[in-house]
Amino acid sequence: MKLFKVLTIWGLMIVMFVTSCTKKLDTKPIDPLVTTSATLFDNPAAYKQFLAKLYGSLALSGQKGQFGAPEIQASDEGTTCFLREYWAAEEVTTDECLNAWGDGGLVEYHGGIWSDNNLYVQLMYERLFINIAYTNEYIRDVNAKLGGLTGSLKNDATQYVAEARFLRAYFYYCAMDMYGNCPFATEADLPGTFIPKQIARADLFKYIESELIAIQPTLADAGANEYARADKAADWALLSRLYLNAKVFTGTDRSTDCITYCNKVISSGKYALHNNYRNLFLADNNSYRDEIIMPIAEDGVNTQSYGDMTFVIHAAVGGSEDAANEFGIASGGWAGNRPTNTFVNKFADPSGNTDKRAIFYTSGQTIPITNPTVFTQGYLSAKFKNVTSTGARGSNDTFVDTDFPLFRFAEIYLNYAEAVLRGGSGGDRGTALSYINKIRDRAYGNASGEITDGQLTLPFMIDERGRELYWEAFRRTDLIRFGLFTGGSYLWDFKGNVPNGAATDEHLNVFPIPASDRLLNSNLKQNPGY
Amino acid sequence: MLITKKTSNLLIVTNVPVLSNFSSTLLQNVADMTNKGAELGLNAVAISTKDVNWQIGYNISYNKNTVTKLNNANNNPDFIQTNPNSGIAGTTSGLIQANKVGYPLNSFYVFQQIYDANGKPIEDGYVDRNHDGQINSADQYLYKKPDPTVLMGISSSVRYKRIDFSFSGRVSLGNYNYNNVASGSTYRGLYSSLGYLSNQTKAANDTKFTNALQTNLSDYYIQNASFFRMDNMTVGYTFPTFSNNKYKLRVSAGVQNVFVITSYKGLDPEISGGLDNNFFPRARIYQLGLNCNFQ
Repeated sequence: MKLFKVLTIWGLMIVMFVTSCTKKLDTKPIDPLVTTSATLFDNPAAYKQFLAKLYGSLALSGQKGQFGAPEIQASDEGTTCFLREYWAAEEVTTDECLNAWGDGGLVEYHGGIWSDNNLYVQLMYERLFINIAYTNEYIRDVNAKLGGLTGSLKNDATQYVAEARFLRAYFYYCAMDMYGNCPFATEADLPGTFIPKQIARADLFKYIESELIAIQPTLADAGANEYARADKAADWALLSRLYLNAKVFTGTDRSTDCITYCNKVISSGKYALHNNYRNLFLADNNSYRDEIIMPIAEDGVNTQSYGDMTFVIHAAVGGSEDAANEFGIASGGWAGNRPTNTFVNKFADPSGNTDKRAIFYTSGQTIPITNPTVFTQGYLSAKFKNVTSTGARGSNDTFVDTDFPLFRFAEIYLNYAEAVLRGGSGGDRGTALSYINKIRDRAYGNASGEITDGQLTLPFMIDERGRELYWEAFRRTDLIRFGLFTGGSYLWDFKGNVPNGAATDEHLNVFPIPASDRLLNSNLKQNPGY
Repeated sequence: MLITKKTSNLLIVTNVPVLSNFSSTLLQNVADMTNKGAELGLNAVAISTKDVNWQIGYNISYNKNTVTKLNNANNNPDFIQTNPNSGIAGTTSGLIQANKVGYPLNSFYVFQQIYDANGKPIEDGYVDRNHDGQINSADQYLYKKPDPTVLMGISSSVRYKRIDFSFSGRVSLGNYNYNNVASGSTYRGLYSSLGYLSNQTKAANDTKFTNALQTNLSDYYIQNASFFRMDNMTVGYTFPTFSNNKYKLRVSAGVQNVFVITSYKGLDPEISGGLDNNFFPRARIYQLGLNCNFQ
């Protein structure tokens, strides 16, 4: 009898365990307050909300405004933002910006003495690939849902996926530009289950190119999308940028393709140079879609972070500048970023009276820069401000309204002219000269700044790109393309970490793969020289 | 008493390879650790007479912890996992602690400093430990640890007639701190771009470093933080009882945190975790006591 009891209990237990295990576990949470990937898209609005997160990752640091829910660990959450990291990598490393904070990572950036331990190198890398991981997740999830959608939601979601692929291509473009051979994953790689492989720079180029071409039919027409969202023109603009730099990335010149995509943007008829250069960088620049093809959208109330345009504007203000009234940031400047004197001298007349693009603050500032930490040495840049074109302050004293122009039409003219000079076909010198003179006419307010055909040379182009696009995160890439970033043929203040500038080594043309990730991923080979 | 304690699946915040997740760090069960140690305690009554009573207490413990397993995707035995919670304050240049199999938990991960003929550290001068002709992160090595090897406690109380005296103190040996206050002090730090001079500690004058680039990853700042701390001293007097033992009265005076003997150069050697970067000084407390008993 006792044995029977024991057997019964055992039997029951076996039945319980076996039956409870045969049924597949249903892991959807039933708590209505909890949202996971399994339930997220039950709400049709989520397709656009998640897409907004992908766009937001251009400016924000995590899941909470200002700070508090970071995606990347750092002692200062503001330093983990895309724009702040990208801006520092493209500007602080060059003649366009000498930072005054004495902050180890940034001194290394400007002096060309960074190592694979540099936190800025690491945070840029982590930010790019975390943004790519989110785009991969979006593309994977939404693609899986598309078949079950109907009507306008299906059309919208299809376009959203194309925009997510555009953002992914853009982030991969930045990664290829900065790190060369990168870790690589697409929506086919499930998170947490794999160790990324490394892709060769030239192969990544092909991938980016194929993605940008594949999504073209699905993207909105030029200028037809909601503000600050990618459209066909943004795609063409990125392709023109990609092809212009193709020789650096792959060894093969693609100037002809660059001209092809410049022509697409130009012939769309949607864009022209805005009549006032200085207004393009003010708090109401969201109204200038005639020139700004795609911005990083900023808003003092709804886009709060310490690593977006808030950083670019605050870090430039110091000395005797009037932070509250002149710059719309009553909480004060951070006294960090200013151009080198070498760059200021790219303007024949830095006063701004002739070439209106020379927007420098000189009162109380001295020349030359002998100690980078003294912010009253060197001219300050007053290009970006949180005041509107009518002088009204932005909506918040700390967080700015000024959008960052990620793609703007003047770049297309400059790309066209440079590609023609580099021997690309599909364009001609006469047109190139007319485009450059349009830029010069706007800069000078009349024809006095126009150049002649004889002056239209490649050395002129790099200087003109500096004058037109400074502080818009182009400089490092541009100088590398012209062979001026490393080596000794072009020196600027504190290049090579000496006051008058010194030659630097060629290996600095790409950043190192951060030591932190190589510890975790043995697939990653370090770039040469590090 | 001898102890061997094995801990498996330790939860550690670790970095994860980029692209594989939606955060740069995750809390994961990744490590095994062994603690080996010995403990000894002695309590003695040295003298016990009507007028004099002297008691002594002493304990000593020895502990050695070693990471025995560290999961990583490549199953690499030389894998080094930096500790994401060991950020160097005041700069943006990384983490100071790391874990590796065979080393104590949260060992310091640093460059080996080169010194000049006068014994002064040379700015950004490090030993090329892997002999590849350049100084980079591959030259960093694991050096010392924040946890003590030996802990001792000593206490004693003496009573002579109506006067009593007692103290207790501790010894900690083999624990090292990262002196982040010193590593953040350089001549360059005197200048602020906001247009005023900043305070720097005297440590800036010890090294005379002008920049703060990789200098804060130098093993120069890993300093021996062994110490003896007198925690408590009390002296008291008990009055004669009166009214048939119904009332008792005792007065006492005491000091807490009396003194510290250490060679550590920072403010206080006793810092849990070994990161001396944001330490609030321990107060020295003086106490006067009056005890009344009513029966």
